[in-house]
Amino acid sequence: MRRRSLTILILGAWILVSPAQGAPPPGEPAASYEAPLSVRVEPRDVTLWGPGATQRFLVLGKFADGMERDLTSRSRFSVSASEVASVEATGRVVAIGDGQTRLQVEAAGRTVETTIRVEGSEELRPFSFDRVIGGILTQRGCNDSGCHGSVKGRGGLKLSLNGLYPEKDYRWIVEGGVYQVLSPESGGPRLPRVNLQDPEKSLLLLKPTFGVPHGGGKVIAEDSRHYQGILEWIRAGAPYGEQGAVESIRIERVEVHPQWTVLDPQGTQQLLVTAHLSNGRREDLTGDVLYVSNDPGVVSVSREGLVKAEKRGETAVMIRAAGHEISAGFGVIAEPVAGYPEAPRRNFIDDHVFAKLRQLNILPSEPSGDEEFLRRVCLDLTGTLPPPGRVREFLADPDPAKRDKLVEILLDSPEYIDYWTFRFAELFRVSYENGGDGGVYPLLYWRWIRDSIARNKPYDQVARERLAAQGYDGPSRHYFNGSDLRRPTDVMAEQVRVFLGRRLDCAQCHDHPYEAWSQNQFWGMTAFFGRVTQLGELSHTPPGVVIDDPAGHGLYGEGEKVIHPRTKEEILPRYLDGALLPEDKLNDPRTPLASWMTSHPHFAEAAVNRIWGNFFGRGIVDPVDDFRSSHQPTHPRLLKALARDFVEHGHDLKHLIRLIVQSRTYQLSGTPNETNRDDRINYSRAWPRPLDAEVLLDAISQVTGVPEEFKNNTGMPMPPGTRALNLDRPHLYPSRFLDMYGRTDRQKVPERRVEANVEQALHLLAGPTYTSKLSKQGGRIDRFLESGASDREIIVELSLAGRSRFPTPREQAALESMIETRIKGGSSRRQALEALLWGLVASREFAYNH
Amino acid sequence: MLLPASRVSALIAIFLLWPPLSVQGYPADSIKGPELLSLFPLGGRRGTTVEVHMRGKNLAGSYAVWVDGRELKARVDRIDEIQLKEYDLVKKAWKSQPGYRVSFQMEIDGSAEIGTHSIRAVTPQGVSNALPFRVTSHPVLTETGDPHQTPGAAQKLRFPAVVNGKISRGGELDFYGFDAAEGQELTFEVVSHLGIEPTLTLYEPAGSWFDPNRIRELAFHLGRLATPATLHTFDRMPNYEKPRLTYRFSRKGYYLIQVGAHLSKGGPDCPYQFRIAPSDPRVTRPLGSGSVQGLPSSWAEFSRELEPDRLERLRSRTVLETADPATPAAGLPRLVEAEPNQSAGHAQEVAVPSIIEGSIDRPGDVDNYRFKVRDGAKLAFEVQTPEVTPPFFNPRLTVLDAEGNESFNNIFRRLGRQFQFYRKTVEPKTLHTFEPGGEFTLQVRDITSRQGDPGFVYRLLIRPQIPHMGDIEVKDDRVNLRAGTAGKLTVITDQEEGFGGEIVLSIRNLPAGVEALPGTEPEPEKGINPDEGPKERFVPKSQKATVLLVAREDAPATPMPRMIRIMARPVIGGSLGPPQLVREVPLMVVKRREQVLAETREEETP
Repeated sequence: MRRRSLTILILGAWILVSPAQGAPPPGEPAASYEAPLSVRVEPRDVTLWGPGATQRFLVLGKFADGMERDLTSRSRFSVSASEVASVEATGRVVAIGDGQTRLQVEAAGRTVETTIRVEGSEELRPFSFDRVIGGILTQRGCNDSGCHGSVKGRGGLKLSLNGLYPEKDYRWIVEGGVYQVLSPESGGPRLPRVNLQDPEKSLLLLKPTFGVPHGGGKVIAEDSRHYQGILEWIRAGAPYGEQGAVESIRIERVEVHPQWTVLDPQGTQQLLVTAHLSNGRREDLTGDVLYVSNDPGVVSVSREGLVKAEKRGETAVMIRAAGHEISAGFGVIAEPVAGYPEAPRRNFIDDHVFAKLRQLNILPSEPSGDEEFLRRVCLDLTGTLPPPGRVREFLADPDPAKRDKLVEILLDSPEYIDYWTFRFAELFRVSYENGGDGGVYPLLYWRWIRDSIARNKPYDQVARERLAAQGYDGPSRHYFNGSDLRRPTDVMAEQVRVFLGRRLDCAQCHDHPYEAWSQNQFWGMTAFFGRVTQLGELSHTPPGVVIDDPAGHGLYGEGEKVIHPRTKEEILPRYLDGALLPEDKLNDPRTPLASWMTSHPHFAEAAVNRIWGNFFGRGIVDPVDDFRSSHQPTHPRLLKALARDFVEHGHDLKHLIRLIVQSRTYQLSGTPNETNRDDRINYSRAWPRPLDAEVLLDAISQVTGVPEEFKNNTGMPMPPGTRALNLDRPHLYPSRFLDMYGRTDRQKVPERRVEANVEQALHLLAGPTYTSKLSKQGGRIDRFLESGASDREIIVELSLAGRSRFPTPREQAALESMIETRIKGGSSRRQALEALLWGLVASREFAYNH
Repeated sequence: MLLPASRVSALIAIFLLWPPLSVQGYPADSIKGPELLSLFPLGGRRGTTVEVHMRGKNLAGSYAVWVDGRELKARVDRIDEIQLKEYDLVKKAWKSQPGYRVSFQMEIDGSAEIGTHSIRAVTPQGVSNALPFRVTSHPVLTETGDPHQTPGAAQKLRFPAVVNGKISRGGELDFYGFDAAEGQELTFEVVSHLGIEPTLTLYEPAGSWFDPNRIRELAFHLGRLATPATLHTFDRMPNYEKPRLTYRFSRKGYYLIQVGAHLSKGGPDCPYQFRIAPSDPRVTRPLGSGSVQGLPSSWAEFSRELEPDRLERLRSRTVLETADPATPAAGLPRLVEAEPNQSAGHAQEVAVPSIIEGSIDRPGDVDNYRFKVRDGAKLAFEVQTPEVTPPFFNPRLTVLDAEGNESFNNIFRRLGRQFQFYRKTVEPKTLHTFEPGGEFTLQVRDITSRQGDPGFVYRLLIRPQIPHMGDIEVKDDRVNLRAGTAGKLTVITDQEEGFGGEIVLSIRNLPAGVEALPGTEPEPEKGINPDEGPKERFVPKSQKATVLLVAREDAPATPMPRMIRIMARPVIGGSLGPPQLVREVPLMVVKRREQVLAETREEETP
């Protein structure tokens, strides 16, 4: 027994001290690396722990062009005390004996030093399955979502994604069996993947070495340290680990350095991956993780973490360690811009955005003109075009503060309430789903949203009211599907998506195939909603009172308890971080959940990201409600700064919106320059965004002077002049136009990504919205004709109404000519003006916010 | 024929006497009775005469208007044939059918009772359903004939005032303008009947940067919710459905109130009555309040009145010998809640029986009361919510024993018949037998942890159980008979708190030639419910009886409705309790078809 333990200890140490293998970094253009302004080494003041512990070091140089480049491969390393540690030419230090030494680095004619301490060099680190075997399986991609880490596993073997659940992995490997999604029982005979009598014949070795047919091909060589590691482990009896030792030194988190790098064309960067252990120490994992480039066309990455620029662009490298996944961002730039100008900055948004543009050698566009800004901000804040009189007034106003003043006016306008009620009614899904009580439920719900917007209710309060809603009120209506209650699984997944920006849905039936969300996390969170039930029926107690009943949800067939679909055990409420809800909170579980969610950093980040997305057409994380390891924020520090500011200002939506629209970033022109023509993700210019269907329809109605007539499904018309934005229950009002242009049915959390299509094109030519509105009596054209306005005046007025700008002289001349030609061709003046108006509302400039 | 009361009980003691008739085997009532759809205006001021129009089906030949109360007199002026429009949801198109408009003058005496009165049309086909007509002391206006569907064209009002208006077509909005003083609080109310659910929206004509004519919404109120739209429900709707909007104006100015309809409904049968008045805390009676004749309050709802004479009233519904001699003869002791009583340690002592009055002042408020009972005591716990009612205030009662363990509560949980969901209701009455007795704590709170307000007032009665005759519901609103035919009255009787006797039903004030006979009809199959919960604690036993009203071949026609009186009387062990009026229902015997034809020919003969 003692011999076996010793073997395990040695085995663990052996695997850890083995040098990383890989090709040396490719050569970089020498000119870029001469004469750095400063040089630094990372990490600094390191303590190596355990026998043969290693640590890679990076050498980074700061250059006059603002770039920081990797000088590691061009540096020379030495240590002052060779009895303490040795250093390889790659900058990799190996611990030898306890003590302290200094690492000296010479790079580009400069010398820098850092201290290295070695401790516990005689203490063998206890073996653990998750760290050692899990690490190998992760580094080799065996537990990747495309392989055995997928939902059902592959070839009968199921491993948890990235080794997230090592105990389960251990059982499947050592005890054998075939994974089943809906049962913890084995779906087939239990054939262990290890052969303790003849270790070399273990499936765990034969498969990856292709000793027997393997769908994944050959992934491990027989002479590799990973093969040896697994073999030694099986020879040692395939233990899980030293009893009592594993938990004391688990990996708590993993981080990468640098997290964000700008590379020259052909540039390289070595990544440094560090594990933070539960005993407070750190461990270099650089050679023991899996690197995957999200876009190998932009950067490629070697097995050892050396990243190489391939072409201009931006992407991330995913880093997978056992049970952990992180990423590092990379931007590959074109040729540097000579004399990069300093752009004026309005607030911290500009600091972050412009700093990154500077790094990427992208010049921001010029500030938008007043016309461009006016139209953009009116549409973004109110979904409404400015009327011609206001356009004239604004353009003529010499006040330098007029933009800020306009923003305040818009934020205080009833149209702001209309528009943001519409936005949140869509997000919160006011729909026929909550249509109980003869359509009153969705109206109550919509009214709550409208009231919240009108009062500028703090967003965390809005979230708490919705999450913890009880009784008979607006926010509690979203717990209904018709007159019945929605399933707690659906409600939970939606709440997490809306308020934390995470999508847990996949984890309902199995551990999430791509993310670290487990089935247990999903059901633990679901249990918070597992007591939501409905009070009443059509007798003396009106239906629809939402309560949390200790007796359970009320769904027959589930015993009124939340049951794990796989283990069939009752699930108690458990936060995403694993903490169990205290028993004394069980009677009202959603209140503590609402507090937990709204105080979690994810909450503010998800909120600001969503609002940001409204103004820029994409989120800092995009899609706005899909934060995941493969969707890294384009501006992580900006995201955090916005979130911090949002919290500091009491989750004030108006404050956040004001901050965004006052920034120079928001107010940049949409006209590109040579450097930002292709930039879609760094906010170097305004990017045209199609108007939402409702906004577009209202804009057409506004410009033509002919309101839309909405009729509900009982044949009753909405009051004349009702805007599409103000339809409190859109599902009651059929509209081909709105559906064609992307109105969502709100059956799920909406995502509007509507591309132009043939149906729209046909409608543009012959659809009633674009034709009958033009010819309808009493519209804007009639008013023009009655007023005796000249063609010139009409052209100006229509341009102001639809484009918020005066026509250019060229446009003016061309349009006047068009009217004249039409009239000469036999058209009436009215028909000619209709054609003019059609051209305006059918134009891309009209249908987009830019 | 008016039968002596003493004979009626003997005649139709439906459980004991004559062999029952089968409803199915009896000639069906083939009368297409008149049906009122709307009334305009919906009310008038005392001491005035108002021109009223009724619209409906089968109103041909209407010759009188029946009104409850002698202070209201009506005279038919004219009858017009009209087309009634109805939207066909399947075909998604409007369809028309013939209808009538009956115009009449309504004289409202200066002494007429303020509140709701019932109006029915009297036709050769019989008597119609009832619609409410509201009498007020306020000045009553009719909405202007000029369009006032836009803010700029709003009809100007001075308050207090009542306006009779109509949402004449779908999507119509009526605007009224008024001046309010700084700090003034006004109450706005609007009622309608079957056609629409009115909404009120208060606006300030403040304009916006985009549109100087834009009005800014200050408050919104939805009219009654879409609960079963019957007259019965309408006039007894709980508070939350009462279309009342109260608003305090922070500054002096001109404001607008808009009357609309839920789901944009509208049409000729969509009248409303709107009231604007300064708020007066002494006035608690909403515009739509007042019970219609013959519709007593239910005995098992949160809205029933738990007054000090409650025990006396219960005793009147049983046979005297069964009353608990320990209960006070008159006047229950009353305990007013006093904070702090948040915990069991601060519970207020309460005697049994007693009435407790308190309120859930704030979210999370819990009121505790301590009481003692003897072994085997059978108590009833009744709770009333006189102001805010369910679904906003749902009082949960929990009784804890001396160790703090829950003995019972007032939540009734059972499986729905679809076997999909458990139904749970907070019950206004809970029965419990204390085996053993001792000291207990009664906790009162709102069932949610979120709601609480000084308006969450409760009145709670702890009393011994009294087996008695509970609600008796008559399903039918009117009876029209031709000679030689029969109509039926369906009566549901509740037997509360272990009442084990019989209930004798009798009909009084029947016209000549009409008899009331016991009948039977098949019970619909309801299927098995595997889990009905502890319903004996919450639900009375119910029985259904059918009374057949048979008009003999020679029964003379009644030119005006006769109000027949349905009476109920408890019987225990052969002893009779006092008779109770259940409901008054109008009955008409109309002329036979041959008779009408003969009379018509006679009239046509020169």
